[in-house]
Amino acid sequence: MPHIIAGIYEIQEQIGAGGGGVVYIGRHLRLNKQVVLKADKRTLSVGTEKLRREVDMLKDLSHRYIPQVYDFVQEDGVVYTVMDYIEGESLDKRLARNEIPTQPELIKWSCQLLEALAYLHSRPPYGILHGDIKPANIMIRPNGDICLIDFNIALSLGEDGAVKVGFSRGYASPEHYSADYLYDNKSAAVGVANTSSSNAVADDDRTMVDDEDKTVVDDDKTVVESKPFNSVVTPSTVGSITRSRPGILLDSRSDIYSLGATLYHLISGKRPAQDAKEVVKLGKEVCSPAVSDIIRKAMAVETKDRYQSAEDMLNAFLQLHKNDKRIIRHKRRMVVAGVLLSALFLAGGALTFIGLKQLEQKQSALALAEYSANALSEGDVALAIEQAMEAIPGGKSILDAPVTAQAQKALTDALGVYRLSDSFQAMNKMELPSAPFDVVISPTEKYIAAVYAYEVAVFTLPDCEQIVTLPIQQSALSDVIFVGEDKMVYAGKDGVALYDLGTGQAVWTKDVATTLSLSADEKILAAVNRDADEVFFYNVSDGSVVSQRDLNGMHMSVAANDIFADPQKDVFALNNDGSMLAMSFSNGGLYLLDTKDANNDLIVYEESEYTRFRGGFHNQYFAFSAEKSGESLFGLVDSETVTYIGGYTSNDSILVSADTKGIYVSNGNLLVCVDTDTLEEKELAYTDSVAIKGFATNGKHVLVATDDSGFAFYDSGANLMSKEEATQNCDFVVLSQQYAVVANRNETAIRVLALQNHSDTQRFAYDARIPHEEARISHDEKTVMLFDYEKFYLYKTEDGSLITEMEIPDAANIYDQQYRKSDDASWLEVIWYDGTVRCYDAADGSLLSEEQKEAPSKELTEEFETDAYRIVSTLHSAPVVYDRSSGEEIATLEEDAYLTYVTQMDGYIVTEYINTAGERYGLLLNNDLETLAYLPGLCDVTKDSLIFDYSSGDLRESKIYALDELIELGNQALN
Amino acid sequence: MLLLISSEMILYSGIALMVCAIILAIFCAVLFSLTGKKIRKKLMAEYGENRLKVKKSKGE
Repeated sequence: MPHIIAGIYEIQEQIGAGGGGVVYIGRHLRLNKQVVLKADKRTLSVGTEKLRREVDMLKDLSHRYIPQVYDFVQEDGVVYTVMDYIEGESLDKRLARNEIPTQPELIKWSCQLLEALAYLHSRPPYGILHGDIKPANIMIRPNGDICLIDFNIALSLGEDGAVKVGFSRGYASPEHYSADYLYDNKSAAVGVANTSSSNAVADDDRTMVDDEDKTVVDDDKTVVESKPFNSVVTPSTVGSITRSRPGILLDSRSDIYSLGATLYHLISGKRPAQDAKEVVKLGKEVCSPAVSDIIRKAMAVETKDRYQSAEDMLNAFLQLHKNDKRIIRHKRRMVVAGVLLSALFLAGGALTFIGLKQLEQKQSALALAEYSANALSEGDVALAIEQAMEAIPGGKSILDAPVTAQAQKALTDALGVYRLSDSFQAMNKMELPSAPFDVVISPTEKYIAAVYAYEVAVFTLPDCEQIVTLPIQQSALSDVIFVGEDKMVYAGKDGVALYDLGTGQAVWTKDVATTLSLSADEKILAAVNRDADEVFFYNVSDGSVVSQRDLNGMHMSVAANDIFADPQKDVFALNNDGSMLAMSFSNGGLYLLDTKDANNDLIVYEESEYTRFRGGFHNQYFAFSAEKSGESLFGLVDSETVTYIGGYTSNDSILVSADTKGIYVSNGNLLVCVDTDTLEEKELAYTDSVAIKGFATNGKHVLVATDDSGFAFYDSGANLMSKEEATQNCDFVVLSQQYAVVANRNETAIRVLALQNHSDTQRFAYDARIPHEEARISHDEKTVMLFDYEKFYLYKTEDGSLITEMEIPDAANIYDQQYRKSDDASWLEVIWYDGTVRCYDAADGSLLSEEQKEAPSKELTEEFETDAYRIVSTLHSAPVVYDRSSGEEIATLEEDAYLTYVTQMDGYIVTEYINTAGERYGLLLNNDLETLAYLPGLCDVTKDSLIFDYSSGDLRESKIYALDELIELGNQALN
Repeated sequence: MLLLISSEMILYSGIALMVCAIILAIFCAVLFSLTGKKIRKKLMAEYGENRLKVKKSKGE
């Protein structure tokens, strides 16, 4: 007959009995669900209501690891608690079979148990204490999860804890056992066991217990003790209660201990010692040290040393992975690697950034160096220096690239520190609003006047500051002429005028005129307006008309669009005293007009086919040139004797200039000065293969414009001083004593050059007429040798006296000459093709030795060595540089030139060359073979100086400028 | 000191360092991934699954 309880549950089978009562498995009749019914044996002792309240406490619990309590029924005086049927078996049974769980299993169960405990301990108001955690009270479900059962002695915690009512030996915390134990440890939550503050199971917080209601069971079973009402419960030994000592309050840490002990038993298979002090730490053979530590801490003797909550202990298990030394070590290694690699990457990034910035700067420097070179070639020295200085990084920042060789070379070239000849060098480049029509330098060299569309601008020298701009006739024929120190006459817009540059005022203004001529004595001014047929002559001092000449219908050649161009076809020139005006006309006529009396006019040509007349007066002589049909004419007329002295024609262009200094005639590539007495011609300039397009002379120097867009300066000996290139043919060349101006009609800028004097660098002077290819100074600097294949000249440096001169025999068969120096001797070595070698002493010119050696190779190969390099120079190819140690080819040097000497000094390499034009020059290189400076005219290198040979008969010397010095010079130039 | 070394060298050294760092980083990532897996496997064997991770992934 089935036993039905409360008409709902059918008891099917008894499955256990223990201190709490008998446990049946049953079935909910309506739900047809298996349940557990627990008949609580305390029914009679504690009363139904108390039991109901306990069940009420438990039935509110809902956790996956805690069985759900459903119901509380009473049947035949027995109170049954209905709860979930937990399938599985309790852990004590496993222990009985010596089934030790694996550590992962244990940890899993621990976490689940702790979750359950955390849940319990957090139940309001103060939590619920299980109080009897042991393997027997832990079920293992078929799915491997645990379930914490048997809440027989579960207690609601009061504000201060709960009073113990029972415990399981070995699993119960130390505070369960004795006050002595705890007092010895000076711990424990000791409190008055006034049951009003503990055992908060019922509302009145009292546990009504009968003194006799004590049950002592086996050691491994729960020991239940009852507390008398109002009695003081002490931490006494099992089975005894005394009145004299304070009671022990339990709290969640007791459950922690029990759990720890349970885990201890489970993993080791041995129940832990009852005395917590005697519990032996679990070794590595049992479980991991981390797990052992957790269990040990949970089982700490004193509550304050245990985990203070289930969450804490749960956390300890959850952190096992994270806190494992291996993981920590692994993470640390990752962090270190990450940091190191990040640092490496950042370092690489920093270096890359620095390298990029430096390269950027280097590129910029290269570009600026090129701009500087361009500016220098255009004559703009200031801009060239400025750009070269910009190319050199100023600061010492890590982002600054090393100074490039190109930048240093640009600065060196712009400063011209190695150009030591007394020659005209670029000084300034002046920009005009439009292309010039004419350029004039004042006789005192205080001013430059530039005529352009339709103004004349006057600048001071040498600073090229513009001081005034005056409007002029709208014609390219408009003239400007300086008078005296501070005045000028010009074809003003309102009429020809005399302007005082000092006061900035016009002195007088007369009739409109374009073409002007001033007598050499600066007293008479001739003026004609374009193609008008009358000429006016003015007193320069006051502008009064001296005379006027009617030209009888004749007029000068004027272009139809004279506002843009001056055809330069006519002569209009007064003689020295202004008594005669040379004038050519559009009909080819050439007249020497008497300024006052037409009857005294001289007619050179009444009319002709000639055009492009040029000329002027030198004293009484009138020199002129003209062209017709591919033929040029030069003529010379004596205006006093009224005789045609002579002249000639040429197929080349003939240009004539005549003034107080002389008569100058260029014919093709030759410029001469004509002696009017002897008609002899003195060569002033020979331009080789290019034709002369224009020239100017100051009596000492000559400036020649050639048809290769170049211009050149010659000295009084017709020696080439310097040659420059322009972008176009120079239409205007003007030369004064100290300044030169070149310009063309297509560019708005005019180039101003200044005569540089470097006589302070003079090392030795010789007769410029001495022919020679090379000049060398002896090792002891006592002698200078000038030599070529034909001859050598030996001089004393001390006084410039000639020691000896000697012709070298059989010059035509000389293979090579080399001037050799050692520490104690210098000599000229001459090698002939037949292998003869003669050495001439540089001290006195005597023959030191003569040897017959093997005939040299026709390749004319020479080798030079520095500390790091071996340089091989051959006649027909660029010199090749080899690394001395490895023999590897490193670079080639200058092409289109023959390397003659290599000298190493002070971190530099000086190379000397001779180019195809026979010009000698040097290149200053750094140790990386980069060119730092161009050394025109370099002829020798002494211990600490560079020696330059100039055709003026000067040996000049210079030190090698360090970069710092160049920068200092650059700063000075800019300031 | 850097001024004595050419700019190109600095640039290429920097790039080389960065490339090395990247290569080493890849190598370390692979190595640490493998060793990490190995360690986690050991820990898994020792402690079972990482409940902290499971808990976090469940959003607990």
